[in-house]
Amino acid sequence: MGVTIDDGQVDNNHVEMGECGQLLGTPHQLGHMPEFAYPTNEYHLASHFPNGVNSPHLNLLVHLNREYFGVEFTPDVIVNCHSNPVWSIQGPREKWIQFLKEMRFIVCVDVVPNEMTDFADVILPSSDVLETWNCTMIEPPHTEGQCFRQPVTEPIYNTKSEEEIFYELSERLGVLEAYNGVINMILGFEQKPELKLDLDKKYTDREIARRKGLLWNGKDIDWYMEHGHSVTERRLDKWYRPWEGMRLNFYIEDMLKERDGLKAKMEAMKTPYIKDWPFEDFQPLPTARLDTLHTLPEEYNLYAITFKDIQLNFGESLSNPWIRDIVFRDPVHTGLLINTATAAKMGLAAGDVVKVESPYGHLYGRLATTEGMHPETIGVSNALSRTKSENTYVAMSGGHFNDMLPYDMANTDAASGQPETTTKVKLTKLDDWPDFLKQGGSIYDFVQELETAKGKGEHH
Amino acid sequence: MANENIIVGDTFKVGYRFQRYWDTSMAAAFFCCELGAGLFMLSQYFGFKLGMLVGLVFAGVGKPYFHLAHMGVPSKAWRAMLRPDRSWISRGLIAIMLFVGAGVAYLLQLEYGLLTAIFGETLGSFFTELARILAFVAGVVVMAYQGFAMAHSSAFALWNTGLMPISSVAYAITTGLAALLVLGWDGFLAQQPGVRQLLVNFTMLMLLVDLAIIMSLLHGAYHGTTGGRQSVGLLVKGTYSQAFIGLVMGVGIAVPALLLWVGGTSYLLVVLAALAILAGFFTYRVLVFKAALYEPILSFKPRTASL
Amino acid sequence: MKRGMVFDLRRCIGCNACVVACKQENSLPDGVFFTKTLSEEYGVYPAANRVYIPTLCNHCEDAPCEKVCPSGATYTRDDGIVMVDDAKCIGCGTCAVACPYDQRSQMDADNLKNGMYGGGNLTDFEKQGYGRWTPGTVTKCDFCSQRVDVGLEPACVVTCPTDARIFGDLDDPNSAPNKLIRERGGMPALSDKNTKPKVYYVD
Repeated sequence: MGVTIDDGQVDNNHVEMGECGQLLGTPHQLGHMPEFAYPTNEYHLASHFPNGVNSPHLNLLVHLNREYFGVEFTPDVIVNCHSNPVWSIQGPREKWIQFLKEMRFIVCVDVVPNEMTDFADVILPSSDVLETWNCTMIEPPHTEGQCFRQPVTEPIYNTKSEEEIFYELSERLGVLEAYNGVINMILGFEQKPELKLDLDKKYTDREIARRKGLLWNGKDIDWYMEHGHSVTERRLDKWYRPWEGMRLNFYIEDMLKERDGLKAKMEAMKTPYIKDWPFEDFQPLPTARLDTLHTLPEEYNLYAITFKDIQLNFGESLSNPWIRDIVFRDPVHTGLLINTATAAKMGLAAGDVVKVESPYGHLYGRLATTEGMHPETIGVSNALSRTKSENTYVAMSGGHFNDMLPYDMANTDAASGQPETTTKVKLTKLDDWPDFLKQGGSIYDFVQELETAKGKGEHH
Repeated sequence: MANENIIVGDTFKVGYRFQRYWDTSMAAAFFCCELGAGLFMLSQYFGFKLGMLVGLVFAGVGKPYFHLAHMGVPSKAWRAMLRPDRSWISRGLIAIMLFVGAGVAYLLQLEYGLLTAIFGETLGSFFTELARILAFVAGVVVMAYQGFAMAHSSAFALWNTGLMPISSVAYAITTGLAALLVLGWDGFLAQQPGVRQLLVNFTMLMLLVDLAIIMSLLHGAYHGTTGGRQSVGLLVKGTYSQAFIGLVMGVGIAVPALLLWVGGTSYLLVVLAALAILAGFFTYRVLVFKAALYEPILSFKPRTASL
Repeated sequence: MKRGMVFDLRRCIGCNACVVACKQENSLPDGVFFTKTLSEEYGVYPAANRVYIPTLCNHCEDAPCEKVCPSGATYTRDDGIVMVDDAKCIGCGTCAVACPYDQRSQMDADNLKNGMYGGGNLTDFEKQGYGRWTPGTVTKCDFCSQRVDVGLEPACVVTCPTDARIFGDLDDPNSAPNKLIRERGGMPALSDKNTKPKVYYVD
C-alpha cells in the first residue's frame, strides 16, 4: 500500500546475505547510537551497549558512580514528558528522589499529577487522548497501517497538546529547525518530500496527524475521520525473509564482532572500567548461565515477582476513581500473594504484616494466601507498589517493588543493556506496621475497610 | 466447593456478605412497634389506660420515628402504604395507622368519654366497641407484620422462616407483659395480687416460649442453607456470640426468668427483670439483622474450575 | 419478549471492564456497582484455578424485590426488565433484603454530594450524571434500558472484550442466549430461591 515510518528502514530490515550466504546482522533497531566516548557523554550509557536498548536504571548507576564513569558534566535540568521514573525506575527510590532534588530545574509535561510531577518546578499540563489528534502506526509483524485518533471534545481544562508544547519550547530555545528535522526523520516524512514539515514553522497535532495519514495512503484527514484507520497486511519486502535462500546462522559471530568493537573503543580511550565490563555476556551461541539471582545468600528464600492486571497501567490509572474502585476489591490486589502451604510452613498466615527484603531494598505489606502462586514465589501487585505522592487521591502502599531490584552492572546484561527485573527476598513478620504506615490512608487501610465491611446500605 | 466460603465484606470475592440495609435504626423501629403493640393489647385487656397510652407512644411515635430515620427518602414515606396487595410493609403501615387511630379513640373514650360526647350514648358505645375491636385486630397485625416482612425474604435463611412472625408475636407479648408489670404494679395490679402473680408466671412462661422459638430459629437456619449456618455461627460462637449469648439469652431470658422465679413479688426485682427483658429483646432485634448473610452467588461448582 | 442474559464462564477473564463501563454509562458514585465480576479459587497448587463470575440483577420473573416493594417503585416492564422508578422509591431497603442475589444498591447522599474525588468537587461528568439519582433510593441494574430502548445492547455487553456476556430475548428460541443455554446447559444462580432469574451461567 503506502509508506509507513519503517519504510525508511526497509533496507535496514531487509536482511542481507553474507559472503557465505548467511544472514547478516541488521543495524540497531533504534537507528544510530551515540558514539562511544570516555568520559561518557550520556548518563544512560547507550553508547556502551551497541546491541542494547538504553535502560533507565543506568542513569541512577552513573549518577551514583560519577567518578567511576568519569562523568565530567552534571545534568541539572530534566524535561520529562509523560513518564514517571520516580515510580517506575528500578533501584531505591530514595536515591532517585535525591537525584531529582539535586536538579536545578525540572519541567514535566503530563496529563495527571503523579510521583514525578511532585518534583516539577514547572508543570506543562497536556491535553489527553480524548482531546487531541494523532495517527499511530500499527505495530508489525503481520499488519501495518495507521490508526487515527480524533478528539471527542475540546480541551476542557487549561491544557495544550504535546505538539503545541514542544513546538513552543523548541522555538523559544532556538531549536525549532532541529526539532522539525527530527520529526521529519522519525515520522518518515522524508520519504515523501511534499509532506515534509517546513523547518521554521510550528505545526498542530491535527496537521501532523493529517500528514501521517497522507504518508500512508494518500488520504486526507476527512477520510480518516470517517474511517478511523487504514490497515493492511504487512508488505512482504518488510518481512524477515530467510526463505530468500539465506542460511540461518548457528554461530552468531556478530555478537563477537560487537564485543570486540566495544572493547577496542574502550581500549583506545583508555577506559578504566574496561576490566570490570562483562564482555562475557556477548556470546555467539546460546549459553546457559546461572542467573545472578541464584547466587544470592540462602536467607533470601523466595522469588519476588510483580504483575499487573488489564485495568492497571504502569504508573497512573489508580488515580482514576473507577479503576481505584474496582482494583482493591479484586483478591489479587489486596495483599502480597503467597502460596498457602508456603505461608503455613513459614509460620505465616493471611493478614500478617511483613517486611519483604532483598539484598537491595525492601517494602512492607500484608500477606494474602492463594493457591495460585508458585510455592517459592511472592507476588507483589503493581497496585501495591505505591509511594507517597502529592496526589493524595492515590494512596501509598508499603513501598515499591522496584526498590528491591538491583541496578548495578553485575545484574545488567552487557549485550542488551537490560537489568534483572526480579529478585529473591526474605520475609520477616512484624507485630505492626512501621510508623510511616500507621497514620491511616494507605492502600492496606482501604483494603481492610473493604474486607471487613459489614455490608451496603446507609449507616443507621 | 471453593477453597474457602468466608465472609467477604465489600470485595469482589465470592462468599457471604452482610446485609446492612436494615440496621440499628430499623431494629429500634421493630422493637418499639412490637413492644408498643404488646403492651397496648395486654393493657387493653385489663382496661389499664396508662399501659395503653405508653403502648401507643411506642408504636405510634417511637416506631415511626426510628423507621423514618432509617428510610432513605423519608419525605416520601407516605408511599409505603400503597401496595397492601403484596407488601407487608404496606399492610403494616395501614395496620399501625388503624391501630394508633383506633387505640387513641378508645383511650380517649375511656378517659374522657370522647366518643360518647361526640356521637351520643348508642352510637358512642358502638364506636367505642368498634375502636376496641379495631385496635385489637390491628394490634395483632402490628405485632406480627414485621416478622412476616422478614420471613418474606428468601435471601437470608435466618429470616426466611414461619417462626419469624411467631417470634415477633411472642416477644411482643413478653415485652408487653414486662412493661405492664412495671407500669401497673402499684396501680391496678396492687389490688389484684392474684392477677399480678399470674402475669409474673405468664411472663416466665413466655420467656420459655421465646427461648424455644429462638432455638428453633437457629436450628432451622443452621440446617437450612450454608448462609444460615454461617449466621448461626456468628451468633453462637463468632463475632456476635458474646452479645447474643450474654445479652439475648443470658440477660434477656435466663436472668429475668430467675429474677421472676425468686423475686416475683418484689417490685425492684420485677423492674430489673423487665429491663433485662427489654435489653435482651432489643439486642435480639439488632443481632438478627446484623447476622443475616447473603449466600455466595453460585450454588454449583463451575466446570471451568477443573480446567 | 423476555430480555435476559447469559454469562459464559469460560470466557470471562475478570478484567472488570464491564464494571467500569456500567459505572460510566450509569454515572454511579463510589462504591456502587450494578454489575460486578466476582472471583473464586478452586483446587490446590499446582492444580489450582480461579474462576471469574460476573453478576448483575437477574431480572427475575418472580422478582422478590417487586413483591415486597411497598410503594410500587419496583415494577417489571413488558419486555421483562425489572425497573425501579426513582421518583416512587422511599428507600426503605425492603427490596434489598428481599433480593437473594444482593444486587441492590442504595444511593448514599454523602457520596453523591462529595463526588468521586471528595470534598464536594464534582466533575462535570458527575454533575450531569448524578442528577439521575435521588439520595437514599435503593436501585439496581436495569439492563441499560435507555440503550435497549434505542436498539443497543447494555454497556457491559458491548464492552466485554471476550464476549462473555450474551444478551437477548429468552422467548425467542433462536436467540443467542437461548442457544447457549440449550447447547451448554445454562443454569441460573441460586435456583433454589425460586425467583426464576433471567440470567444464566454456562461453563
